[in-house]
Amino acid sequence: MKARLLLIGAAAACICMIAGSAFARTTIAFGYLANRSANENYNYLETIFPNSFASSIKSIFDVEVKKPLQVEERLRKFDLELKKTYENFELPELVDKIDADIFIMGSFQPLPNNQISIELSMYARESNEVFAFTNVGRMETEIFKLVDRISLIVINFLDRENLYKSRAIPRGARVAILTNLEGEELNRLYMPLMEGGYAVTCVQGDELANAFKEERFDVFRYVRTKNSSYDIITDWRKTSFPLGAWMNRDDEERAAYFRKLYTDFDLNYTATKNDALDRMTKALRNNVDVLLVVGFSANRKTCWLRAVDVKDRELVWIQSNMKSDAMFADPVANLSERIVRGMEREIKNPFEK
Amino acid sequence: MQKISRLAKPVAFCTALLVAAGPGCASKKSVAVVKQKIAPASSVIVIVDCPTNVQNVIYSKFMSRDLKVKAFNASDIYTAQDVFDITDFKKVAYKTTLNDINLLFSMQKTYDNLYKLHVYNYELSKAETLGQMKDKWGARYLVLLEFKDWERVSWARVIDLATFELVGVINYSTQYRDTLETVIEHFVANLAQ
Repeated sequence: MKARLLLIGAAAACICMIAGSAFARTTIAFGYLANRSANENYNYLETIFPNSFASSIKSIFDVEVKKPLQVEERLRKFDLELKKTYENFELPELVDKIDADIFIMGSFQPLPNNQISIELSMYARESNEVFAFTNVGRMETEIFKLVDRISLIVINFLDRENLYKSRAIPRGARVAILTNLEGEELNRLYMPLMEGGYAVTCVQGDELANAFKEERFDVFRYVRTKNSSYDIITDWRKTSFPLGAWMNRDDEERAAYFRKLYTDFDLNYTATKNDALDRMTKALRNNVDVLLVVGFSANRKTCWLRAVDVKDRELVWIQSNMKSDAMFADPVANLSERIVRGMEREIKNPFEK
Repeated sequence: MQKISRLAKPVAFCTALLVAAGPGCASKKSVAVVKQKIAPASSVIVIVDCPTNVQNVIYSKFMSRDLKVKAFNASDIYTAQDVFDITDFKKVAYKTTLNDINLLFSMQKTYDNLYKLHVYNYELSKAETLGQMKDKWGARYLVLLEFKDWERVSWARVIDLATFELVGVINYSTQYRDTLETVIEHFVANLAQ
């Protein structure tokens, strides 16, 4: 009898533990929004902005939020203070210390003509990924309007499909598509776009077989443009390049080789990529407006997409985990139709009249 | 009541069969979007990966429609798959003399970015070739064809080399009674005026 009671007690404790973990709310922590202008009069916004974003997000999502002062308090236990800005590679360690699931930080800069540029970076714990975007808009007299505008972007991105859209892609736009489909499947991706009034530029459509259909295509999920990025974190602090008088010519050449690799393809990747895109666009005789990268899962029932405006090199659209309608028999055509429907759609602020 | 339960099993079986067959059938459907038909007397380059004697049958169907078929690699077509294996690139990329796992981890993004640039440059090379098709060969349209056996999908694609735009895509579910000629005729009839 005693053993049975113990067993029931243990089971109850397990259920409580599971329930506790299942219902543990996501914690979103906010850092400061650093003032990038020389005008110190704006410094008060460094705390007001993140506090307002936190309140706005909490009013919509069932989440715990930690405002900068709470984060500061938590970091004091580790003899640390919350810095105004962090490098991406510092975020994993920071987020572990403040015990949050998502960390949001950024900066702002007032611009001429009553405009303001706000840059936010979001890091989800253990994701090793950072999403950063820049929003330039009117510096509203009522700050809550501006907060709603930015919060809406954050809320959409935190949602299941990680949606980010900075502008609509109008009908008639010339769209070049990079994807991991080929042959008749690729045709089924093209058809709804052509029927939807978009001009499909022949990138990848000009070959019998796709050379890039393997799993590795998934790296295109990460995208970096001038003002926005969805990228992985690399920590070069963990890499050592010992230098000394003992180095021979081979060692020096090897170090120089890695330095160049890192400079061209990581640090200055945006410039290197823009140069490649420029040459590609020129070779296509400027017959392209938007580069759409669409990666399909092996069973074709889900896809992700990234869209970059080829003219101003801005990130226009990010969406992940797009699922085909279960009732629709052809998932590729169904997802393509979803893409067409999403092209012209603009994300309107529901709080704005 | 008994009647319903007796029918339930076959109905459920048929429904399951339809649900299972649905996606396969839909993806094998014959579909076409043709925004612009190839005008008579236009110069076309036809790319198809099949033996030369079969190519002759294909070209003759286009020629019979008063289209000027350019002798572009007419007997020597390779797919990118045959001449270049992207997986080789991966092996080269990971070949490093510095046997340091942290370095490999840090270099991951660099390798990924290299791969992406390689894709962009590959597309650039193809776009330049398309430009040459128009300028040096005087072709107006590029037609790509792939023929498949019965119950599989043959497809065609037409690119207007003046704008680099896809102006026609056709998927054709090859039927039991189809021959090579009937499939080509289907494509040519739908793509050319």
